[in-house]
Amino acid sequence: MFYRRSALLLLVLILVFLLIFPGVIIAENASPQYTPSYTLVIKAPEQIEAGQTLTLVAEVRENLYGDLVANARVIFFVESDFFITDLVEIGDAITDEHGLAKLDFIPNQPGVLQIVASYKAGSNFEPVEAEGMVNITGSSKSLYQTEIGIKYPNSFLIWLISIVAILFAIWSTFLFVLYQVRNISFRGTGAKGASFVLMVGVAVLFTVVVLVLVTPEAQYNFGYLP
Amino acid sequence: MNTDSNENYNKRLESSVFDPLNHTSKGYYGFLLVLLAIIAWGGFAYITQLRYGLIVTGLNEVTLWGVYIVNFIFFIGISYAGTLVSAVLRLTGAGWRTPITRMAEVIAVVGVMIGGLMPVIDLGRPDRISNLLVFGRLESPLVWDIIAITTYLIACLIYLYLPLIPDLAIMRDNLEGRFSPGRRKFYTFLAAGWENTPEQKRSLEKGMRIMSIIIIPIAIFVHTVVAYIFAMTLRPGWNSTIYGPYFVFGAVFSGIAAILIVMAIFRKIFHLEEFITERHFRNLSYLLMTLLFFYAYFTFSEYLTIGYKVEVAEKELLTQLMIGKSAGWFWSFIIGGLLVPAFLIVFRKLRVIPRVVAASVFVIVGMWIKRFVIVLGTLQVPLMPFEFGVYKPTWVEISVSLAALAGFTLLFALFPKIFPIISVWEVSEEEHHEQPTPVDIPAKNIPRIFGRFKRGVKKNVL
Repeated sequence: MFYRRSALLLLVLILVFLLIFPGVIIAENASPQYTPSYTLVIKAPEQIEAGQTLTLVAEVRENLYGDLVANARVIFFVESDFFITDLVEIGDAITDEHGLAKLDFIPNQPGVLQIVASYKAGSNFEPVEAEGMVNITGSSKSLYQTEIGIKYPNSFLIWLISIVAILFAIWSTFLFVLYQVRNISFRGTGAKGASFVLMVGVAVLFTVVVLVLVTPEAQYNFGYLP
Repeated sequence: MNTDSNENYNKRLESSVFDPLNHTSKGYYGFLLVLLAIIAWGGFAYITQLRYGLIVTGLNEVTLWGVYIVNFIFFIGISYAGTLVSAVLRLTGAGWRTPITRMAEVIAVVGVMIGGLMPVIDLGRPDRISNLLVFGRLESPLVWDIIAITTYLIACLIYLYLPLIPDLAIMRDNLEGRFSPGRRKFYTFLAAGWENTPEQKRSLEKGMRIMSIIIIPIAIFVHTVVAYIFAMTLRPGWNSTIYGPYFVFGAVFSGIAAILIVMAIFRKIFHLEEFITERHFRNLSYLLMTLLFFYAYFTFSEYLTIGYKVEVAEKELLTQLMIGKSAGWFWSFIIGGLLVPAFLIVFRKLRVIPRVVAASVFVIVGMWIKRFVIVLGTLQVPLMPFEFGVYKPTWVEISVSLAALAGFTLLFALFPKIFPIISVWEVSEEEHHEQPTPVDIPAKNIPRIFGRFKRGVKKNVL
């Protein structure tokens, strides 16, 4: 019986080795793969009158040989004021055989307009961005200008602090209540694990929620802090 | 009540509540199989949706929310009433509450679990749900909603767990031999060393009192935030200042109806007639009627103010609702969700329980339709120069919705097989307390709309 089991074990080990070994050899001998990188250039007139069509052009090139890239999807953004000032997507375009993606946009408000083009070659690539400025002259062509929210200094910071403070108060109360469960278990002779598990679980969950909201990982929130 | 009858009462109570924990009929297994089959079918439908995208649903660029979001509001609403009824009755010391609070608390947990899943199912790419937190804006009601629902779920779980502790200790101590060792360990672990000492009682009461207080504003906040998802937009119908309280009252209204239905089902299946009496149904029906009046008032106020001003887009919405393609839904809600239940509660020719339960079923169906009218009515009237939206749920959405309902029922079916569905220690304590002094309530002093009491009958003051 012992020999039979040993033989079986050996057979399994050999099979595992045979399965893994060729992969290791191939991986070791494989030539390093080339990861392409890209450059994006945005072209737009320096000045245009409000209400006229602004043609935004973005050119995509592959960096190694400088080849123009066709059929690449480029997304265009402009800076806009909507409760907070941020980039708002205005549309996308596919590059032609000359590597050019074109998008028409009509700015209605005078002022300096920030435009951004973004290209992402695939899910494993970081997006490449290019930005430019266009001076919009003349008078406003909008029927009315929307404005949302009341502007006051450090509004986002106050908002963030308020939310985190309320959450902290509520979740601290949860922990205090679970501390009562801990008191129950420490005043009895039975299991003491439940209260500990619950308290740790709630504390960890709360920490994750707060961290996600306020750390640099939450870049869109953190980016507005003064 | 003498000691012997108290002991007998406790024995009957424990037998009714604990027996289902290890006695299961074939019919129960059959019922579970049916529920699991529906859930499996819903799972298949959802996989189809994941595989081919939202194109397999009735959603489109105009009506971008459908029955998933309707179900979301519906289940969260039901959940909300569970905590509110339990917490308010606990805080006001209403003694009659004890047999029904556990069910209300389970409704709260199960409702928020199933409801919370719905927006995830509504996403074409559920793998991106974490983006809502990582890239979400704190100015967005959707982010508020995620934070509020997570907080509320934790609150509901703690609120369900605390009053379970003494019952778990009863199961640990008195039911030895009826459970497997693993299951007994599970109860021992959750009982947290409860031995019914005065210090432990003080800690438990403290925790329960705090949770009863804090869970009310949390629940109100959660449903207000759900309303804000709609009210923070400039869409006709949704652009309303009363949507927060409107949703809150709607939630309690439908939730109480759900509690009444659940009570009736458990009462019948587990033979709890001695503990859940007509009195419980009657008292909750008063609450249901009060909330029906409030909800009818809100509905009247909402549509009157829209109709009086008649802005262009809102005129289109009202036309659709009153005489257009959504009129069938709207009037079904008015008649089936408000008028018929009011009639059933007020005109008391039938027996209490069937009448109140029938009214509750009408309310539940009517309130689901109302949420459908809120979500789809507005979306079908776009502000942008699109064509009017047409929404018809596909087999995928219907299957997933039925699976959600089956999941809700399944969790309810499993709960009494794992935990006692009535708070045994609270009912027992309430029964041991001195009964309230019976007083004569002259029939002429009781509003006729809330009951037809016989003259001179002694009633306990609640």
